[in-house]
Formats: sequence, C-alpha cells, structure tokens
Amino acid sequence: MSEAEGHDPTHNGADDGTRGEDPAARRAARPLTMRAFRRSFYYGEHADMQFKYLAGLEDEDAADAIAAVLATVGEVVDTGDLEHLRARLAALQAAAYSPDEPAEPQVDDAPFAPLGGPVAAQRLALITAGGVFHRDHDPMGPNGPTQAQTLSMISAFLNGTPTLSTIDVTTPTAQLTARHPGYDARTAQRDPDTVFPLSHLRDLAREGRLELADEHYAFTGATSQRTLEREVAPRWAEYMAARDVDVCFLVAT
Amino acid sequence: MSVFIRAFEHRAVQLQVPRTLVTPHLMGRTIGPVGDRHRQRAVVDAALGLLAEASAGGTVRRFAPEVPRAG
Repeated sequence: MSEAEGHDPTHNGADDGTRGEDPAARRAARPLTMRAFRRSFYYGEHADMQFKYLAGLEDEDAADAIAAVLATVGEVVDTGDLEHLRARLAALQAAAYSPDEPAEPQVDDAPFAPLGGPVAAQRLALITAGGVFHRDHDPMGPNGPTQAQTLSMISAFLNGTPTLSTIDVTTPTAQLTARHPGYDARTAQRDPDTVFPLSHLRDLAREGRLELADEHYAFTGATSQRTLEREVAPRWAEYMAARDVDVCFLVAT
Repeated sequence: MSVFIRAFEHRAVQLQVPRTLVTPHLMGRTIGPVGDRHRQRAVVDAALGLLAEASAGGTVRRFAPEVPRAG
C-alpha cells in the first residue's frame, strides 16, 4: 500500500484544478484513466474506506479486484450467500494490505504477563481503536464532524494526538456511535458491537465468566503512531492500572 | 495482560502483541458482521479462551467461524 499511504489525500483524481466546472466539460477535458479511478477511492471522488486499497494496486490488479467483486455480487444476487461475499471482500482486503509493508509502530519484543488466576477473577476493560464514543460526549465537541466530513481531515488525524473516550460499563448500546477517518464507521454506528463488543462482555459478566471494569475506552486509531506509542499509551496504561484493571481486550479496526 | 483482536494477521504478527486473535472479517467489522450476535459472541468467547490458554508472548490464534452444515 505504499502508493496509497504516501498519496496526499488532498490531491486525488477529483482535485485537479477543475473543481466547480461543469462535470461533463471536466470529463471531456480530462478523460478518466484507470490510475486516477483507482486512486479516487483513497479519499478522492469515489472515496470508500472499504475499497481504498485499490489506490495502492497496479492497474491490472485493481481491475482484477473490481471484476472479482462484481462477479461475486452477481453470484450472491442469485444465491443470497452473503457470507461468501464477505469472505471474498475480506480476502481481497487482506491481500491488498501487503505483508511486505512494515507495520507501525515497529516493536522488537513481545512482553508477556501470565494470567494471575482464573479468568473469572480478572477485572477486564475493553479498548477499541474504532473511534466509538457516547453520543452525549463527543471527543471533538458538541458539533463534532460527521463521518463523511472526517474523511477530509485524515491528515490532521494522522498527525494528531489521540483522545481517550471513557464509556461507562452500563452505557446502553443505543447511546454509542462512532467516527473514524480510516474506515467506514457507519458500520459501527449501525452496530457498535462490530468493534466494541461491550454488550457481549456484559452478558459474560452476568454469566459469571469475568468481572468487568467500571469504565471502558475508545480512541481513533488513525493517529500519530509515534505519539500513541511513546507518550499516550503509557499514560493510558497507568490510568487503567490505577483503576485495578487486570486485563485489556484491544480491538483494532 | 492483554488480548488483541484484529483482522490482517501479518500486521498482528509484526506488532508482537502478547496474545492476538485474528478474525477473518472485513475492515471495521473486527468482531463480526452487523447484527450477527452469534458470530460476535463467538469471537469474544475465543478471545477469553486465548487469555486463559496462551502461555508465551506473541501467541497468535486464528478465529475460525462455524461452517453451517449443509442440508
């Protein structure tokens, strides 16, 4: 994904100096190329967080991926097998996010703390990088941006300092929402449990299988990874340890 | 102690988190599809199992959804 990740999201296929002109005239003056088309999925005219990886593929690979998606959609229209479509889309995403790209932050060890007793006796907190928050406590203020508006702010997010949202364990799922410039958070708006399974953990606590902390947490993973690793996460860990949290479930998006 | 739940296994391996559960789900649906509480619960159960059973750092377990039986 080097091309996509190095691509300036403010300069995409749509932002070519002709914005505001008649679309037909613009298209006649500048015919759409495959390169511009695939790059437009990465914060461009066709911005789509589920398919932004197309920007980083070669033209032929992007064409193959699009054809595969369309063929599978056509098949599922007949079969109704949504799981087949999901699996196909997930496989394309996984292949696109190439293993030869280094992950950030880079770490060279895997510190391990053994379980200090039965799971049922552990006090567990949930943390998601999915940008979930309580509807009444928007971390960007009462007039925070919408999910769509957030996409144009991706550079600011990636250079910013993450904010930890605190969510009380009793918060009804209907009071949760989400916003994130790196994935389509409308999914989490529809069902917060897709990235923040607090309702399931409450079920498990009622069954006596674990003890839940009073607070659970969320932040937006599209952020400065260096600041997160070196400054913010250690503070968060101390904060949670001071609240007698034994175990964290960390959910990435 | 921590359990990391995510898709994209190679990223999880690179980050060397103590315990990682890799799920085969789309970006933004790490725990499972919208409204699929059965799948979501199974992922959370698997994460608890990993917490109980992992004995060394860098443990990566792949969540495998139940395949409905034909017929």
